[in-house]
Amino acid sequence: MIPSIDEQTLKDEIARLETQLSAARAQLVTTSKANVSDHLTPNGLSASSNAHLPNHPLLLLSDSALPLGSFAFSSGLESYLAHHSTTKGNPSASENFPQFLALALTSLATTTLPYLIVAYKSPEKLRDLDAELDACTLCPVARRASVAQGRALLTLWERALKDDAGESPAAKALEQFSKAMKPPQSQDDEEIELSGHFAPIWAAATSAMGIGLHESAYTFLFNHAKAVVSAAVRASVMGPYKAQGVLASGLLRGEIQSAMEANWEKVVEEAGQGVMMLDLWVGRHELLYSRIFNS
Amino acid sequence: MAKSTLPSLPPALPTFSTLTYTYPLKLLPSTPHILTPHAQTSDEPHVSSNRSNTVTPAHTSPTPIQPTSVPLLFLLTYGGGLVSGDHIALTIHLDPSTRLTTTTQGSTKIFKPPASPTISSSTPPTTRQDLTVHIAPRAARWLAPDPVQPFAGSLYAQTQRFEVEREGSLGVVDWVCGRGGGREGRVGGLRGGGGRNEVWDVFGKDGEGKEKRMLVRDAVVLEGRGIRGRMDGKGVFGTVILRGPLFKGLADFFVEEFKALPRIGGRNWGSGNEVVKELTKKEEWKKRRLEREKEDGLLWTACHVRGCAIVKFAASEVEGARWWLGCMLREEGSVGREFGDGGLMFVR
Repeated sequence: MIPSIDEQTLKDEIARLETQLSAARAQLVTTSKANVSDHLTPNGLSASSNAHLPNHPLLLLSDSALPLGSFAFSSGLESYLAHHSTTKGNPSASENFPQFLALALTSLATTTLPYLIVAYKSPEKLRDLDAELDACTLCPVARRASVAQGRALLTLWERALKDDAGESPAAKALEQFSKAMKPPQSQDDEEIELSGHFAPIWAAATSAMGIGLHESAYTFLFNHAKAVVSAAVRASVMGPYKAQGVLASGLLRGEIQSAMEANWEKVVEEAGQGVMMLDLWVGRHELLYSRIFNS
Repeated sequence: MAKSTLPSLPPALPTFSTLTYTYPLKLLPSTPHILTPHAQTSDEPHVSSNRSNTVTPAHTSPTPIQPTSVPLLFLLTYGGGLVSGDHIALTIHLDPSTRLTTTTQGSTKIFKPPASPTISSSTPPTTRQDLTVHIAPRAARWLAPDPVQPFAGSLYAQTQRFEVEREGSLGVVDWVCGRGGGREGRVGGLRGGGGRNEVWDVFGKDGEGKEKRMLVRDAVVLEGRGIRGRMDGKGVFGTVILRGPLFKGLADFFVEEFKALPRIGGRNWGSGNEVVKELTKKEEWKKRRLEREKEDGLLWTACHVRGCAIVKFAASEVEGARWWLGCMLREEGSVGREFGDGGLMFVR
């Protein structure tokens, strides 16, 4: 007998919870003082100090060297600068930058965070979420960027990450998604196929790798901030030290946290563009006379 | 609950089979646009608004009938605006091969909730407008209202859902602006709210239950701190959504004009010294339009996406955006021809 969808969903849920439970148990074992053994690793580190080690998968996924092609048309920065360079008496590009960064984070959070959260909690909905997010991503430049990064992460998952991630509903969902992916569809194709948008795939991959939901969402937004800042360096808006200063700042942390709070309880139907200007800047990237960012 | 039904007239003469509305909404049919024989399509509309507002076109004929006229329907609100807690729900149903033009007579003002007499933490009720439109095969709808104008401190949410059957056509303009000039006049004065436009593809055979698939959802969410700072000094924002055979020409026109926009940051190598060449009428039009776009701080984009065309625009002041929309729509010409002058009243 083929189990009904509900049964399957429940089984998946149980499997997921069991995975979490065993992970938690393993952690308890390593943290518990009672279990401190004198077993030493080759480095001389006690197993008990594992609890103080950083989250390995998180370090991996927050690395700017991750091959995701995350310049993403500079997330609208280059176009924003071009649209503000002609106005006389305008503050300089580097003075404008914090404002742009805040807008970019707000926009990313209002448009995609609800999808990330649902995809994390219910990876079996990955295909539906991808289709729905595609219907909501109307700016062609933004769509190209999101799909390019999502597909790059999917490839990375397939080729490099999945072997060590083990089994989980999220891993299963990614595998099915990957199989179902068709070649890229033309933009005005009416048949809805899988696109491979970034946020839901990121959510499934982070879940499959045992990263917590809050960490996943924070890292997603922080990675975006890093991409925008690195685009700013490349566009000579600021030097590398100033750039690191921006990334280290409490201001940026605050922006990320408030963007998370503002969108945490939303259902996907409530996602939408929070910064209308960003669609215009990003959409008009194609009109720039000279471009540093062509992808 | 008010209800009014206009009797059907002989085939191909559009009439409302149902037209009901209730305070604070008023539906006012006006002089229809007479189609010249070569122009295409149909019969008539069916509107309903809830707390019950509805429009339905009466005739359904088995064979496609070319409509001879297009009714014009005004959506009016008492006092030209909506107060806190007002909720309008309007349903419009277009039968096969019918056509309808809908507009307003001035912007819809969204008033600020009255100051609470007691210090209360409860949020005042949001003003809501919900519209559901069903467009049957070969039917066409042009919805071109004046902008919604939320006053500083107002709360506003709008949802528009368009279900379009195959060969149905939809054209909708949705725009929002601040009141007057200065700080108050910025859209950023809005305390909170958002808007959502959804276009659904409806297909399949009648008897077997039709399938629906969301093509596009154009959603804007304005809430939290710093709304004003997100507007970059613009006083008006809008979207035009186009789908279906009757709007194909207009959709292509927007997309081609967008692609032909001058490059940003490109140098003007000619710088005034070249021989003045005679411009064609079209070149004159474009030159004038581009000058105005610059003066009015008008930025726009247009693209084909998922079976629809999406145009987004923003400008410093509402009049700049109004001029630009009128300029584009008149130059292309199909709205006036297929939907009548009533369809262009909003850009007058």
